[in-house]
Amino acid sequence: MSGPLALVAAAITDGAGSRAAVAERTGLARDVVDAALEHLQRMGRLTAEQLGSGCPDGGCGTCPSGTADGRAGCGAGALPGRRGPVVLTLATRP
Amino acid sequence: MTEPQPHRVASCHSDGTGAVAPAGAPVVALVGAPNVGKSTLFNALTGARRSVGNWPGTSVEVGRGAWKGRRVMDLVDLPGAYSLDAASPDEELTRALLVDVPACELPEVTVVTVDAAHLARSLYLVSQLRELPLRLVVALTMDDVARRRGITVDAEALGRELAVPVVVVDPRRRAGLARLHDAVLAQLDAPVPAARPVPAGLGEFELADDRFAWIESAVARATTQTAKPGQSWSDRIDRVALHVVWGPLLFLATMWAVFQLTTTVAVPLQDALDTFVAGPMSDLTSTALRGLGAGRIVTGLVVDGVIAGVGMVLTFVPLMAIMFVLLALLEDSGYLARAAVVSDRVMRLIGLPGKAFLPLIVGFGCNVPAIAATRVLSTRRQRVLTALLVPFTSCSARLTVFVLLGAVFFPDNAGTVVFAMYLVSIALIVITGLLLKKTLWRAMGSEPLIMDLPPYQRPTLSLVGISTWIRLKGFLQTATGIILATVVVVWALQAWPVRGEGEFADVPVQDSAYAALAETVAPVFAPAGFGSWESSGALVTGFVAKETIISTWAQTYAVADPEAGGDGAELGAELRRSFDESSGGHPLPAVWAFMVFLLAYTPCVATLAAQWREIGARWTAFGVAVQLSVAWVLAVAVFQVGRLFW
Repeated sequence: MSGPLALVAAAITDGAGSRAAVAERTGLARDVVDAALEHLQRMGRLTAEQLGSGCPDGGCGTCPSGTADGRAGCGAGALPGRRGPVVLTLATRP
Repeated sequence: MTEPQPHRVASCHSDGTGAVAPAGAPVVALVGAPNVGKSTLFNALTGARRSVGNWPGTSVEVGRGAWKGRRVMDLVDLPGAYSLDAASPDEELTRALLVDVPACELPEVTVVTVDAAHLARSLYLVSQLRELPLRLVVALTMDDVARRRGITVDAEALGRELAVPVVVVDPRRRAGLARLHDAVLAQLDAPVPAARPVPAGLGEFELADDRFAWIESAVARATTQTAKPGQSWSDRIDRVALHVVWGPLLFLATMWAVFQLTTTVAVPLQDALDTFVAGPMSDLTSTALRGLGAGRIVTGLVVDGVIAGVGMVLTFVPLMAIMFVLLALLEDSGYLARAAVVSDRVMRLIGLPGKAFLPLIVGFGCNVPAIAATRVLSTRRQRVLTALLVPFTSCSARLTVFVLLGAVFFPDNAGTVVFAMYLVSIALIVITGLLLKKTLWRAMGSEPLIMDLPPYQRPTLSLVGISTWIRLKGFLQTATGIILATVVVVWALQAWPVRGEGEFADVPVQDSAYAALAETVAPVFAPAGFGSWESSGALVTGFVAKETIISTWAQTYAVADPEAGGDGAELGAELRRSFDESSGGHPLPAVWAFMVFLLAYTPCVATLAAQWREIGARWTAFGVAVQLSVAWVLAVAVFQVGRLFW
């Protein structure tokens, strides 16, 4: 029988797109789901990315619209305090 | 050279390095995950009788103190650790002191700090410790926090499930400390309990899964949820905002309101600015330049070029400012993150990569960073496909043209017209994405992912202000940079006579090089109803940046009739006349066709440069071909169908 980790991973694979959806699909308590997701991250099975900015990793200096002195040349970059979602992506392993 | 010292807490041979307690005092290790109140508990138990320093041979800080009570114990505060899997130097030391040492060097008792509000998270370490021959006591912290969240933890039941004594403590109020002391003393006299058996031969994942099954069982039997979980304001709002049906509808309604509010408030301001720029500002500048002895060329360049062109684009500053404020409010409140989830659902529905929504959402602000944002995608195929779709997102530069045309041709419904163009943009992305996926990217799968959303909050004035200013500054930089350069080139072409009797800077614009060049392109757009040289020329300059369409129109009509001043009403009348003539009396379908073409064709040279950099020249060229083909076919279809009814 699958344990909570396997259930959570399967729920994500099957398309559960939020913690609430994972809890609903697996029947697990929200606390257990949170712990399982955190542990999957520690194991490297899930990778977390903060979204909400379209800026490249290298900052404005590596962006085509960045200025020569490395500042943002567009209106969308380098905004402080952006509050985007965090995406947790399940690594697919053979 | 210093000999590295072996890791040990208690030893049959220990020299008691760093110990504050008297020699021979039983050693008690205090462990737990970070942020569960472990250090607060350590401070409460030891008071001032402690030392803090790096563990010998490591850079990891460890506290050590005398825990007084019925018996003095040597309490060692080990670094915070989620588990014994040694993913960090802190966890490595904890593992070394509890796992990798001989039995005689283990602490006599190990106290595990467990957060009652996040029980499952804290119990993984307990599950691993239970597999070792250790005397354990669980110190249950944060019980008050758990109760406030409607979670009641039955310490006795938890103790039975874990087969470990559980003591509820509140180190800040010094509650439960004596009971914890007694529980540890009791363990000192007890035999080492049997380790929890785990099935043999399990892999890393299966072993972790087995531990979680044990944890889940303990949590289920030891906790009760006295209040329904998930009742925060954020969750309540999300029930609608993330609903499969209501979520997208709410998102669309929100965006409609944004455009409606933007156009309703901004258009009168824009008209006033427009009248000022085209009237008093142009007149005063002309008079001043003449007074300074400037010739016809300089006056023409400044008044008909820079002021007419750049000035017209700058009249959109209030509109952009209002739009950016509204978007910043939505972003800072946390709503835009929900919109991303709604978009993500659509992406999944049509089989596009789930994370592709991010660059596309960014693209609605500006396509250039959106192309850079395709780097979040994990495969090159996904990056290429998404980079090809980004130019179909309706950036804020196109917004200025939509607003101008909406205000001129649909004055009572300008906001709805702009909103409709955003819907067309979304439809274009979805349909083109599906077509490309069905043809070029059949084998592309989507990644399994979940999204964590920030809670809603009241937007902060400073963040909204900074966000608005940064975006507005970008708009101003474009207007005074690349648009100014384009304005000068367009003015020179419009001042250059190629037919008729005129001379440089004194030629009817229809006899200029600009008009002659535009006329060679115009027939291409005749089936779409906007095959005039004025519209075609503007679309050509629009390759540089979409705002230049406005500046070019303003220059064209200012040069065509300099005495008229080219104010907003005049520009509107000229546009109506031009579209009416080129469409054979069907200006409204022609305007829709023009806006659809504007939406679908190449956004700007900066986007092309970004595409070139991210996906290479071949795909960039392919993208331009697709954009022009899609734009032309759609524009012709819109006009030809529209003229039947309109």
